[in-house]
Amino acid sequence: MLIGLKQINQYLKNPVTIDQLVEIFSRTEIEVEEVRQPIRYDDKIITAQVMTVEKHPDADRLKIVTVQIGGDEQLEIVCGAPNVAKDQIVVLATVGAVLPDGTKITKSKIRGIISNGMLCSERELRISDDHEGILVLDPTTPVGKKLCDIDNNDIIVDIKTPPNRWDFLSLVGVALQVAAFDKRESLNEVKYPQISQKTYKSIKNKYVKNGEEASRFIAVKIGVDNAVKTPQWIVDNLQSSGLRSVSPVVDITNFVMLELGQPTHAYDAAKLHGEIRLRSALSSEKITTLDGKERKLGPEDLVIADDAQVVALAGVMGGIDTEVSEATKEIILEIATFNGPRVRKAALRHGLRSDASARFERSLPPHLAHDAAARLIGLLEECCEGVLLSPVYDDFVKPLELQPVKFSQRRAEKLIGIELNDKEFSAGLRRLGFDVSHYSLTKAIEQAKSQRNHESVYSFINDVFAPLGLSCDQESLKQWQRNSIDSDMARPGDVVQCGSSLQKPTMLGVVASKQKIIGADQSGAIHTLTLSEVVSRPDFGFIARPIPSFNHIFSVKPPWWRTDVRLEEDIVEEVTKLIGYDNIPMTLPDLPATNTLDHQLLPTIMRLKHQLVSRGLYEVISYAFVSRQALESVGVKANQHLEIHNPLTVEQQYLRSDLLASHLLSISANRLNKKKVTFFEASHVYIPLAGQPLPQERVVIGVAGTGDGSIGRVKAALEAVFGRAAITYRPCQTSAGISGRSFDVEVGGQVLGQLYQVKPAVLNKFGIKDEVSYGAVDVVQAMLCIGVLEAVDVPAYQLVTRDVNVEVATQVMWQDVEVAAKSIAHLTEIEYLSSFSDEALAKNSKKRFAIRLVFDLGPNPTQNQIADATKQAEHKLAKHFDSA
Amino acid sequence: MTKFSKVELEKSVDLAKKALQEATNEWEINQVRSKYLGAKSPIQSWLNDLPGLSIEEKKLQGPLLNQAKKQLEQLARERIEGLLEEQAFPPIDISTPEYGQPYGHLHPISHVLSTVYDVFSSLGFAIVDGPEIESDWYNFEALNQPPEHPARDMQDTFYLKKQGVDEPDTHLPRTQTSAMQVRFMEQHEPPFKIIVPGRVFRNEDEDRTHSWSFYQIEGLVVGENVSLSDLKGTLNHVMRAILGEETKIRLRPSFFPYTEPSVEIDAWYNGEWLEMAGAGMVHPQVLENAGIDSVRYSGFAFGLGAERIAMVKYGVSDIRYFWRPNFRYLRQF
Repeated sequence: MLIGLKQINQYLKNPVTIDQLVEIFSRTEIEVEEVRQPIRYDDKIITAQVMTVEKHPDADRLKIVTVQIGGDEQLEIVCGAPNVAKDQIVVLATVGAVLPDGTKITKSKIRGIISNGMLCSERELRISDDHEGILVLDPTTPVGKKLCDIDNNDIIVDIKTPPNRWDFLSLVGVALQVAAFDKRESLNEVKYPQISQKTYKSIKNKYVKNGEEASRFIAVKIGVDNAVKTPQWIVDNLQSSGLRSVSPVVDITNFVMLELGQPTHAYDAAKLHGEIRLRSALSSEKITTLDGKERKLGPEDLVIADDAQVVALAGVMGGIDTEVSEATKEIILEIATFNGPRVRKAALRHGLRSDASARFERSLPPHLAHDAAARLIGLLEECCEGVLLSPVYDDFVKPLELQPVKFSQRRAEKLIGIELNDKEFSAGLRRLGFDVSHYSLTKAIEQAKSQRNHESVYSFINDVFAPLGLSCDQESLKQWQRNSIDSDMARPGDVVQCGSSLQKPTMLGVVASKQKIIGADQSGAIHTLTLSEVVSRPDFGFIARPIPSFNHIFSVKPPWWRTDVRLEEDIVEEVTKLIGYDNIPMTLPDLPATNTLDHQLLPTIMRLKHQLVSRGLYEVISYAFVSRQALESVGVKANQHLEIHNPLTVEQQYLRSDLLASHLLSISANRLNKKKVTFFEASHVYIPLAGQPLPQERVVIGVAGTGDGSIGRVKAALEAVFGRAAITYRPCQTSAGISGRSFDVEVGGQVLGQLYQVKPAVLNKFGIKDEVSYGAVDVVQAMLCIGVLEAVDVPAYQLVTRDVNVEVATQVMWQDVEVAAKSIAHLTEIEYLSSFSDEALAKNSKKRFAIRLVFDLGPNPTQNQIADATKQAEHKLAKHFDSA
Repeated sequence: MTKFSKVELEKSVDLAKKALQEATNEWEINQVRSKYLGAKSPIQSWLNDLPGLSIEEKKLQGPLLNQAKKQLEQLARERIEGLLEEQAFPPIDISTPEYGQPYGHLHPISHVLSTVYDVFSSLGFAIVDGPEIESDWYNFEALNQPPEHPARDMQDTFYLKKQGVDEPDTHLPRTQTSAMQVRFMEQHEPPFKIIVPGRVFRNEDEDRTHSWSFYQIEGLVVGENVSLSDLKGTLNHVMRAILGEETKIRLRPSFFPYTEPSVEIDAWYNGEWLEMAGAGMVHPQVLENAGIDSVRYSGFAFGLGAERIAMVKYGVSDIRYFWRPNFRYLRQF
């Protein structure tokens, strides 16, 4: 929202400077987005009146304009604006003037005609981005004046305010906040606009059926003269908030919206058919709103209609058919408190967030409608000869009673972490409009006792606790019963319940002092009893402590405009702001550590990332949403993925269940040209579960490698992830058939990952010419199989090594040799040296491994022992692989 | 067999000495050694002859031969030591990448998260993962944002498509890591201190500073005496650990439906105040929604943006660098 410094100061007893204003805002939820200093226009930029407009002889689009700049002085200007016309008051930058962007105006010859300056557009004057034509001023603007002298030149602050504060979308609301937070010596005050406190003719349910669509609806018919000029101070106010002056009636309704925060609407009474009412639209209905757009309506839409048609989309925008014009003589004013969520829904559905809907959706208090109506009528009378032509109808369905709130000083101190001074916070809260009083249990009981209207078992206890915003009903009794306390522990303020069922208490009372209980029976009659009497009653229920302590307890009643305040914590927030966040000390929570072994996934992934990076891999992060095309290119079906209902683009429509497509997109985008790059991403992937609303989310590390030997690099990366776990590679086929050299990665018989080289036909769809391999691991599963490390002693003596050859069938893998070696006596280790095949071997589908065997034969083995062990090992391996 | 001659011996020793001096490496020295002192050398054969000689001859030849042998052995050793001492190394261009192994690159977001994990671990926080697809309840309603609440506008939301129908589901890619608050609190008894780092998704157009997908770090601390001053102290500690000791923080009032009071946290970094986090005391209704007694317990929560930190810390000019893998860019980290 845009507000001007002058605008705020018109409501403050002691005006503030811009620096003070910004500083005060910084202590509240009002966030300053930007401070716009007014443009100080060059003295040589002046107002002028267009006298003649002629076509330029040598250019179709240019015109020769004669302007009068006061007195008899006239200048000839060459101008290209399509909207220039005789008699307009325009802005002229004369020769020598400097525009806000630094451009200097010189006398120039344009197509042979001398131009003595330039007529300015809004963009050239930095008023807006509008460059369609020149700026045309109000016809009553004096001619020949410096623009800087007639400009409103307010300092404008662009503020952002939270959605729970309707009052910050009003000048008075902002001024109230500024006054309360103004720390200068003399306390500041707000000059609330003059509003008559007349009550209007109340009529039940003429406009509103029940309170759900609107809690209040005020309507009145007024005679006006809408052809007069709007007072300049109102125009200035509109301008500071970025609104344009239209006509007095519209300007005044807009101004009241800015000032008080209540949007209102004026209909041209002559264009209405019969009376107006509030109702839901029918699905056949339409309206053309003031912005000229036709909108199809539906039963969800709340509308104002007359006997013939819909005349406004309630709380959002009026209709063009009943728009007020200069000729309007009679208007119907509508001042309503529409249901916030419904207005918001309509505005969203119609893509029409108006100044009005932005205010209504914050849920306005119905009290405001009265003030707005009174202010409107007052201004219409004052500015455009407004005359009431009807009584003011006020359909006030649902008043809003703000409840007092309990404020415990001790609890607040604990929550804020600072000691509070009750005089200071009370004074501060009062400046904000709150009613603050110390709560005394004894006094509250006395007062409640003296109330005469006790009708039910609840009345007395509710009266006692009402100043603390606490009410007692079946729901609260249920809750209290759960936290009931022993009767020995009872102390003043505790609640006592009797009655065999919670639904029908026979007595509800309050412990008034040691042993004394004051309570009401089912008729509401009040009795004084002793604790032991109560406890010994056969229908004694329980004693509970809804309020932990009555020490330094305050009753705080919010002012009518603070509809956001409902809880003790809301008061704590106000008190904290009054103290100032800068004055809050800094401490660390005094709690035990939580980083136990339960939550190791993310730290483990981080450790794995560091390991992979130290092995030369790049880490990437990529979008989790991919396109149908990308999924289908890697052979999976899009409809087996979760789909976004409202994607930004088709590129981001499906939730990935694997990282392959993303990695191929990355490779493609990076044009690696045979470069050997290995990279990984650690990410959740989403697997839809039939019949389940939430998908299974797996945490995977996906590794891709490009260029020669890619599969080896990807394999090495996966092994880094598995660490010491014993991996087995099981040749397999990928389900989509998109790969060769495919392996399942198993640990203990469980498949935890996959590894393969991607088929060129798949790569081709991504425009990739290089070799690409891919592997992925389920990190959670992999973590589970990384067991506890158990160290084994190693002998101090030298172990014996012997190199041997083993002939195996072609399909035998090295991991098979490792397994076979495990059962060989004295063999502690085997080392891979090489594998070999030639024509002869290949003919028999064989290959040969050269292996280094490491034996533990004790200290000083004899040559015979060594030879035996070697022979035995060779024999066993040969037998195992059946090549003897 | 040649008969011993003192002249021959001296000649042999001189030749050996000369050869040792001329030898340029250990192998040559050993060759010289075996030639003049080896089994087939004259000196060795004379030594072999000694036992058969008379005592006089022994007394004459023995010391001469032994001395000569010792002298030559000594010289050979010295020459070897000298050579090792003087050994020259061939020049090397150590700067070429052939010496070394390829360099990997941790993503800048991980650089940030790594620091964040360390800081919070040292403060005793657990680092918790949560689901990225959430129910409307955990993402919004449990956090005091019922449908039609204007606060939902602060976060434009992607919705999942209902299976088989062209309608939005009640499940969504979470718009905030705060979605994990109630889920975690339902499963754990206070007190606890956690952070929940992870991806969040907003249906917003991208530009240099906005991404529809980004990393948040949620913080949640609940205990019996947790206060706003604890929130301030914790974030002050954390921001200094992340951005450096010169950093200071300030709190500004703000609004979030799930905290009360709510604040924005700004950090003073490189001469300006930067908005770094949203935070506040956990709203009592949120605690109650998770079944935690809001009279007994209080808590604070905060949300940090990992991209924001990385952009500030590393001077990253465009948030899209984080999300569109570009190896030439990532190579810097």
